[in-house]
Amino acid sequence: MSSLTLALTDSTTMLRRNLKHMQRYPSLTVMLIGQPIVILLLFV
Amino acid sequence: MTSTEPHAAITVAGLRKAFGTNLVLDGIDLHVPAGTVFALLGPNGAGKTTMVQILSTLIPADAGEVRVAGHDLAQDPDAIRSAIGVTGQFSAVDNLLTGTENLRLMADLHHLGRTEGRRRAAELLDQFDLADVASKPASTYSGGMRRRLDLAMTLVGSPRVIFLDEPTAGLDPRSRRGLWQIIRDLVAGGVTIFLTTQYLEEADQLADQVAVLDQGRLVAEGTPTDLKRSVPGGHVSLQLADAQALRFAAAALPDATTVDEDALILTVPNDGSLDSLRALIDHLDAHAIGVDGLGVHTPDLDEVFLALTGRPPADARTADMEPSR
Repeated sequence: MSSLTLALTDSTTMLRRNLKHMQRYPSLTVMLIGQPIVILLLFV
Repeated sequence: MTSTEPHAAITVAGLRKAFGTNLVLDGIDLHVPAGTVFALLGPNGAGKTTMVQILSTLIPADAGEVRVAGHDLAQDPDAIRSAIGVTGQFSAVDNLLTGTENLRLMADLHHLGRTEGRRRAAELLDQFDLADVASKPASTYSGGMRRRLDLAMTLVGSPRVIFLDEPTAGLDPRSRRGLWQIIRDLVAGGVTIFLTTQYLEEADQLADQVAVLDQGRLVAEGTPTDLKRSVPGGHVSLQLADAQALRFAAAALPDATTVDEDALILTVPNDGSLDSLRALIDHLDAHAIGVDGLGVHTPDLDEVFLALTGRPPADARTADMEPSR
């Protein structure tokens, strides 16, 4: 396997893990998206 | 696996490491034969974890030559990484994933392939008695289950050398024994184990070789039996009926080391062998001393540890102030 395919496979593996995290711990995702929006509304 | 020294899993010569001005490891020499268990003991802050981190290529050494699984640490760290497994003090278990998903994640990162990864995950779940809870998130696991899953994740890549940094810290006696049996089974399969621990009983139970690390130096090395022989401490304690019997017994046994007037206990040096016990009991009978109870105490690794890592009072005070884990 070339290093490019290795990098792609490992990235896919970790992306899948991150997607599972977002699905199972939605409050973190909501916070992550919500915080910049709140700051945007406050200062812009 | 190609190896220049097939009988040595880990060899270390003149290893040094300092964090700033704080010298953590000061010229360590080690030799761990393949297929054995090596236990590294030492008080908190002695440098045990640093040692594991260096040997598992996580941090560089300042000086010294290290070979792990036949590969040189400085020249070929990638080859070492592919041959070892590390279970650290802080578990690598992902709480949001289930047991199966955790193992499959490891299999994917080892590029085992889909079918092989699934087969290996199922096999390890069976081996570690986790099949019932395989589909539950790891956050619901007990401490013992979490440790077993952590070790199973280490084994996904079939490592030849496994580093266990305090594998049974915080486990109850039953889980600890279960984990010991797992470790023995691994060794029977030809794996080399490098273990650090606070529990001396654990080193006694598992290790072929024990080394004691204190203030960056190895202060003792040998089999658990060798180390226990190196400190005196075997004795028999006699529980007597009343103060008068205690005085009488103390007079009859001039080699008694301590006389505890309050607890009515007399301590007599004794190596714990049947002959010396019989001689002692005959001696007591001859003087018509009535003994209520008798306890035989053989030296254990705790005493070795305390004797070897004893410090001058000034140092001991700073050691006490270190936060405990």
